[in-house]
Amino acid sequence: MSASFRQSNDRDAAFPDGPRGLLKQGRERGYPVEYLLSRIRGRRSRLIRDWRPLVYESTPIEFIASAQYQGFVRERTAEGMWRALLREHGWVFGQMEEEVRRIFAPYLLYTELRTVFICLRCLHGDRTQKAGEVLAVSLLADSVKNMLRDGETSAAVERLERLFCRLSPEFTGLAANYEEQGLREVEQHLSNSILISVIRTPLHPVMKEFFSRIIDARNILSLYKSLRSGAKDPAVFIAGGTIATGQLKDLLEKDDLFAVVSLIRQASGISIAAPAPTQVEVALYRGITKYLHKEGRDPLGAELILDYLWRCSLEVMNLSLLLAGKDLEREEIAAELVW
Amino acid sequence: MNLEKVLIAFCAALAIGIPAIATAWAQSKIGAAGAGTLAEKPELTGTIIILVAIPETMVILGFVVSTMILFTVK
Repeated sequence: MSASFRQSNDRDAAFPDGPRGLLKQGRERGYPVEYLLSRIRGRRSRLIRDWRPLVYESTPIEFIASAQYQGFVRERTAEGMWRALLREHGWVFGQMEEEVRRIFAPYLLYTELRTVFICLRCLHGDRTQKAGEVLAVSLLADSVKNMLRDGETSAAVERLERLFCRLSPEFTGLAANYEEQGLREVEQHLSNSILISVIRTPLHPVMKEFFSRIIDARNILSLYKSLRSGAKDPAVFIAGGTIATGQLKDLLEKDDLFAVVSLIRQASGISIAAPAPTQVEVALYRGITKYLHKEGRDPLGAELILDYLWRCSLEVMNLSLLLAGKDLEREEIAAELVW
Repeated sequence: MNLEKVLIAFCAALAIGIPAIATAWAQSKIGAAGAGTLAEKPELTGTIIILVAIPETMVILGFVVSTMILFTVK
């Protein structure tokens, strides 16, 4: 195992089950890191690099179906595309050695939160069959899957709270959130708590940097939304990013919407002209993509795997966007794509 | 006299042993990476075989040096 894949062994002591405990357990031993990296380099080269022709010249569905497209997405619906992403994550996970799985567990669990959200919404709407379809390709541990497969939503949220509290006490109050404010608040609580708990644990340097940037993006978005809507949408800042929460609170007090532009430049290195809703989010994601793309050039590092996983998510996100926005102005769609 | 023979044999053993270990290590890494590459791009078979064989030169040179030590050092 190369040096860039090693991490401290005190991880388990500080974080008893760890995010790995909430992901699929199995006896598959995976393959040597060198093998996995070579396969990922090969697969990464098949992802879409230039999205412009896809936006302006053809429909995404035709392109995915054509022999020209060599990527992993073959489905023609947004849900199918999400399942394709989960399958790809499952493939990468299956190829990893146990130590590499532990390094990437925080990222994979963070991505799987969407599976949890989809399943909770399905339970809420009595669509258990759809929840089963998503869970079939999910990387979540069987204990989590069983909670989300059927039954009452409130009971599922309660069970989730108990299980996630073993990861961190931050998850306390999920069931109360559901009773008082509904699923939206549960989703918000889950995504914030996962970031808080993950950033406090000993992480591989690549994951640490990645989650710091995700927290920055989330904090800036929260600040932006709060500044735009006033007290209606109170900002929640998470510690652990590169931008101090104190600085964010100061900006919130000053009520300076244009300060968001310089914050985005500071966090992502991307300049935007004005703090428009789509521009802010896209600039933050583009900043993370740019960073991972640069780091992913190291052919033997963990960064390569993270860059691939992130780019797979972008592929699905962009294709879903093209699919949903087929009737919209092309310029509008192009501005919202992240690459 | 006997000590000299022991030292010569020991040096010859080192001359082939160390490159053999290095070759084994290099081939394990290149082999694993090569297998991954072949799984994704089978058209690169020829290149991968050459890459796996390159570290073999180390042990061949080690063998030559070891033979020279054994038969030329008096």
